[in-house]
Amino acid sequence: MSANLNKEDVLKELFNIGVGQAASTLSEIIDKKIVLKVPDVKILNLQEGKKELDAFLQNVAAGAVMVSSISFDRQLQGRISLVFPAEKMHRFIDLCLHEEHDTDAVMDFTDIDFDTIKEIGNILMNAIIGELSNNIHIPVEYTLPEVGILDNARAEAFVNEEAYHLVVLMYISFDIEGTEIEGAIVINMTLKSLDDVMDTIENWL
Amino acid sequence: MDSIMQSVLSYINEGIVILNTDRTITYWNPFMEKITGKKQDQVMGRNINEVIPHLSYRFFDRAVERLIADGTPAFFSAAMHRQMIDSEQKVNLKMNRLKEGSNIAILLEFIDVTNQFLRIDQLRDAVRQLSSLNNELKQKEKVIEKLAYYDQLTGVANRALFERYAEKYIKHAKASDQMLGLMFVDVNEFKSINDTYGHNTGDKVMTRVASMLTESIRKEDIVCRYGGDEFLVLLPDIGSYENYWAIRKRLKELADGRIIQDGLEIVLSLSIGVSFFPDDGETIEELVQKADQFMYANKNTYRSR
Repeated sequence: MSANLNKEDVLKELFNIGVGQAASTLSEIIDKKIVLKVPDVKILNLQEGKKELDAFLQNVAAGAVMVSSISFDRQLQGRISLVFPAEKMHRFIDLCLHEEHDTDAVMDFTDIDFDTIKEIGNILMNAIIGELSNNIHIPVEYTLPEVGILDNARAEAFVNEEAYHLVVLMYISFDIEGTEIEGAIVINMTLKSLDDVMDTIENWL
Repeated sequence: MDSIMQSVLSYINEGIVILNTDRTITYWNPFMEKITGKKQDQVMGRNINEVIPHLSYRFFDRAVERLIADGTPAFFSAAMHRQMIDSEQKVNLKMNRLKEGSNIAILLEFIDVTNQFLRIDQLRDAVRQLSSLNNELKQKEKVIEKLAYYDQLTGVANRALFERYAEKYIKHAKASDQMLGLMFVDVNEFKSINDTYGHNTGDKVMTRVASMLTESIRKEDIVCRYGGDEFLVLLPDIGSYENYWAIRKRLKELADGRIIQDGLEIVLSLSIGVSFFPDDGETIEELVQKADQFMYANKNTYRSR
């Protein structure tokens, strides 16, 4: 039990290193201080994961969410999604682009907005998956993220129904010049993939 | 690269650049010539950072290193990298690794999104204009509403608004078994003020009386110009005669006596009648009639002085 807890702690640490790198790259690109925090990482079975994710979608992201996601394969298989409440994204994008738009003249999201989130998603997810893959020496292959808006999103949209999948759920908060935007990173990977990760970590301990 | 592939890349509507792992350019398609103004023979064999200086930022370099090492694809948006080519052209950049056996090359795709930026700027302008038009319309709506429900001279409610409130307040008084008061106020000898000092001064006196009434009442009471020199005041939930007397006393203190208007000293006095639901009537018409009678009784007392 205690060895198990330690493995999870190591995994959390790996994710945190990845998130830290992503924050530093993003700060460099947008030339503003960004603080990225991952207060907690939860590894949950499919049912728990869906329940927890649905609670997040209802409480934090009531309504529409903006999602950036990639599927990865080769030795580690699964899907990683970055989920943000859509209503906060205009402000978030404006902060990243050093722009200011009237709140009463808000348009729908444009292709430029989607491209901005695509880049942020790419940096963040590359850092998280890349850090994991590099440290445990398990190769991963993936493409660029796809970005979309989901109205009334439910957990099913991010979590594979197949029983042998697990959910790694991380709540993430972006702080850009004092404006905080909360989101979640959902990694839905096969049990075998997570076992491989955990086995490798166990060998270090 | 075989010639068919070369032709395909020549016709493609995005900038294609292929680099060696040391970042030297091995292919530069015609679309790249178009967006950068740099010909293929000027750039072949040169380091990409010299040809597109924006790519010498550390984060591009790290992305290329990672791409070479483990094939991690990268995307850089035109919105976050506005100067990637120059200040006019807006391009997204995709980086992918090409691998054949042990040979590795880097594929850069520059996707021109300048038109999207222009179109979105136009849309933003249109949305801004619509929003300002909308605000203007809202302001006009308020003005129209004011014209429809408020007396133009004095700014207090007109008869139409009085009727709306009267109906609402009498319903409330009946439902909650509360007293509703109705004052009928008339400016004594107003005709003589008009005749003596002129209509312009008369209008100003009328406006001052409306202000005095508004100052004397409580927040929820409604003052209405009923016509000519007559005002009605609705007093919902008045509670007791004492509360009415307090309002009347405040009004008398303000309005009975001499006022200075346009440098002229004018004697002002008001005749006031009041009726109450339920004691004096069950409907607004009955209450107005009763208050009018009491006002006239008051006026007669004034005249007989």
